[in-house]
Order: sequence, then C-alpha cells, then structure tokens
Amino acid sequence: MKIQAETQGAVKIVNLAGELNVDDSIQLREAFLKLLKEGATKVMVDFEKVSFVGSAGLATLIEMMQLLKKAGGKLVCCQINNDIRGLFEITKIHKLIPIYENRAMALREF
Amino acid sequence: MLISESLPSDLGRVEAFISAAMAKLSPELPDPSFGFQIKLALHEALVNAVRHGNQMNPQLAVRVDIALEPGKLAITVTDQGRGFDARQVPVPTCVEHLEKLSGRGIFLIRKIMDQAEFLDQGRTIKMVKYFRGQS
Repeated sequence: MKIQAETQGAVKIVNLAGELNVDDSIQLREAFLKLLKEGATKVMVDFEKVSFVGSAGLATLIEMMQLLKKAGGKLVCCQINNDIRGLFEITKIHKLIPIYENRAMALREF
Repeated sequence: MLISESLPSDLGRVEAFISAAMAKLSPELPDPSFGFQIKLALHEALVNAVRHGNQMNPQLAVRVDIALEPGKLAITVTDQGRGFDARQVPVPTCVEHLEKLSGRGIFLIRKIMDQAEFLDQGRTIKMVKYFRGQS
C-alpha cells in the first residue's frame, strides 16, 4: 500500500493507494502515529485508490479515531468505493467515522 | 475449479496465496461483484487461522480448499491450533463492542457468505457463497 500525506489548512489528508491488509494496517498505523506526534488533530483519509480493506484495516481506523478524539480532533474518510462502504456499514463503523463522497464534502466536516 | 494449499503460518505467504487464488477465481465468477466478498471471507478466515488458530507458530500449517462449482463457491480453512467456541465470539456491532480493535473477522464472514460453520472444535471453518440466479 502507498501512503502519502498532504496538508490543506489545518487538515492532514492521508491518501491511500492499494490494499489495506494486515501488514499495510501496521504501516498505516505508524503513519497515523507520526502525524499525531507532529500535532495533527484533524485527519481525512482519502480511499479513492483503495480496492480492499480487511478487519485489521478497520481496527487501525478505529484506533486512530479514538486517539484523535482524545486529542480533541477528528478522523473522517472520503471517496470510499461501494464494496468498502458496505464493509463500514455492516460493521457499523460508519457510525464512528464519518464517510463523505468527496474531499470537498469531507473538508467541510472540520 | 479446485484450489488447495497448505500454507505456513506466515501472513505474507497468506496474502500472496490470496492474490494468486483471486487471480484464478475472478475471471470465473458469474459476477465481478462477488470478488470482493469472496476475497474478504478468504482473507479473514486465513488471517484468523494464522493469528488466532496457529498463534503465528511457524511449525503449524493452515490448510485451505476452494471449490468453484456451477452456482456456488465453497471455502474450507483448517488450522492446527487449540480450537475455540465460535458461539462465544461477541457481536462487534453491539454498542459495548463497537470500538473494539478486534473481533470482526468471523462476524464479517457470517454476513457476507451464505453459509459459515465451524467444525473440529473451531479449527475448521466451512463457508459457502451461492451465486443465486447466475449459474
């Protein structure tokens, strides 16, 4: 998986590309922790180029949502394909982490 | 189509197997939309077998058998661990478990496959997906 972070105002945008499997989840967790250490509190994850997410990936997103919440911040996701959106809905994670159709809508959350 | 393999308890090898298996299965599926669900079920069952079943012990193997037949696909995954009682696994969508960082794999399998049963004291999971109206 490719993980690339960018900044838009006060928001850190994490662009993912590839599959979010077990090893990729560890890599993503490390990237998130680095952002937190740098003081990020508003984080948006762009799933446009993600084709697969397993339960380990969901767990990483939940953990980051919890850590950001503790820091007074927020995690949102956008551009999730229908298969992965279905996964969020089955597990009800969409109730914990807001999902938006596009980046502009997600940015308005902050 | 039959795909059978005995895998070591190594998540890298598991991911490589899933990619290779899906490359063979995907063109044969009656609808591409089944691909994600089948891949997810295979992924969750194999990762559970390696992590929770075999406890990542490199001396233990995971057996996987995939049978694609007209109208259905069956997957059987067997580990060499101590087994477990699948009935005791909490439902991860309950409010008290919603934010837990584990325990979604079996739930997802049950949701996306048409059948999922545990045998041999939880060491084996048999899953079936029916391609209704598409065979």
